[in-house]
Amino acid sequence: MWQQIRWLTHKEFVYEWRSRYLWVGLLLYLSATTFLVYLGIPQPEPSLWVTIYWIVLFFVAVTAVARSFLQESRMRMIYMQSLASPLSLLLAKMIYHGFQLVVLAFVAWLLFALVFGSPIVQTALFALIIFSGSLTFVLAFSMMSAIAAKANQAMLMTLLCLPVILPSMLLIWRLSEGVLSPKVGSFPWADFLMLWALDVILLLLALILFPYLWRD
Amino acid sequence: MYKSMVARYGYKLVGAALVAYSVVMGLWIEVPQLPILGQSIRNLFYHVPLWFSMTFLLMLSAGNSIRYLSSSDLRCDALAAAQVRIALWFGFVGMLTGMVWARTTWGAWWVNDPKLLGAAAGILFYLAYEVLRGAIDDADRRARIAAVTNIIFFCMFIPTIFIIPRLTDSLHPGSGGNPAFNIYDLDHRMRWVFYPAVVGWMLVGVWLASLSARLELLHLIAAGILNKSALRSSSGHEG
Repeated sequence: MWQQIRWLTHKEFVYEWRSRYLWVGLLLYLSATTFLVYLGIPQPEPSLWVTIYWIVLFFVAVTAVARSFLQESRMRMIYMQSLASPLSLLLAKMIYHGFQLVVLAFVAWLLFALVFGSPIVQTALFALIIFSGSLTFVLAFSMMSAIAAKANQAMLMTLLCLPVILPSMLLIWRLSEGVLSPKVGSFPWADFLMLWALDVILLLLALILFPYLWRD
Repeated sequence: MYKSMVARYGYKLVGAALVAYSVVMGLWIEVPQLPILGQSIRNLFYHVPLWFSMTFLLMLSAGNSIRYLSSSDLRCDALAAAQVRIALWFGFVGMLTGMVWARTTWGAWWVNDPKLLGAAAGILFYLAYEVLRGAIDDADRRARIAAVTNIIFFCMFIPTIFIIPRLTDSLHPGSGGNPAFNIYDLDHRMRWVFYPAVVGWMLVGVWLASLSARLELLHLIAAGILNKSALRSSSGHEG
């Protein structure tokens, strides 16, 4: 199992490295959206800054993670199915896209700081939120990508991702509001724990339900 | 034989009777006169049970989705789908009755209130589920994918309801320092209508869903996917 996951993750990295244009495409998507927001709202309030940041990241994440299953051709899926267990396939995808999304999220922060200036006071905590938030996105969206792929409808991806991320998104917003003020004690740790609890639920659901989705 | 008749018709009769009772008595009984609320307090008998039944039906639906995944029985899928459909209708009517109540007591059709946002989120979740079902043609594939989605959605819908109130303060009873049902419950006459209404609407919801599921089974039979025996034995499958 671990051997399979390592091998599949390796395969993801190699494959993505060979098609670097996908990374460039995502970065371009991110910058274009940021630029578009800048044209509309040149100087957002701190709380608006945070909201826009996460909404932009949401769409980037949907686009990035959608590729995990939607992009694979049918023949390659069948080939994979015969080689590896569905769980190692899912976990490998999650590991790779988790890495990808954390990188993208930090790039987005950098980009936002460049364009709008950064209202974040407690930098380390915000980095922690970004890390956890990206992981939540990946945990939630990988399953939705598999569902959309199985339904043969790429259009469904955004539609399904929106509700499933809703509770986590609300917590992420609340947490991000917490790092805007210099007061150190004001960070809502209870919400942070709840975000991780949701992560655990999402992971368990994915591990339990993915095999059902996968068999044809 | 007698037992199965009770199981088949009993809950429908009880549900219909309780709903009829609560609809009539909800208008009839004397209610406490409270400032602002006034006669609109009677909406407690119509608005609140709809929400309870909606959540109850969604819970049953998630259960049926789990049953589908373990049995691959299309009847479980038809039930799960029908329960979501009826829950959505209850949700819409619950939202309308809630809006009327909000207009009377708070002065606006819609306020940015956690409970209302939670309700809107729930409808958003399950409309996405309906779109997903509509997008897949093959019955077995649709059933499997929809079951997985339904379980995930239910597991995310429940936290949503509990998390939203943490974000803002609420005008709604039961949060933000507003009295919950306790103040109404003090009035025993209202309790005698409210609880029957809740149970009645839940039972009627299950009944409506079972009818809707049978309709879907008929479609499947007409399409040649199931044979006729599925319909006969499905009547014992409600709930």
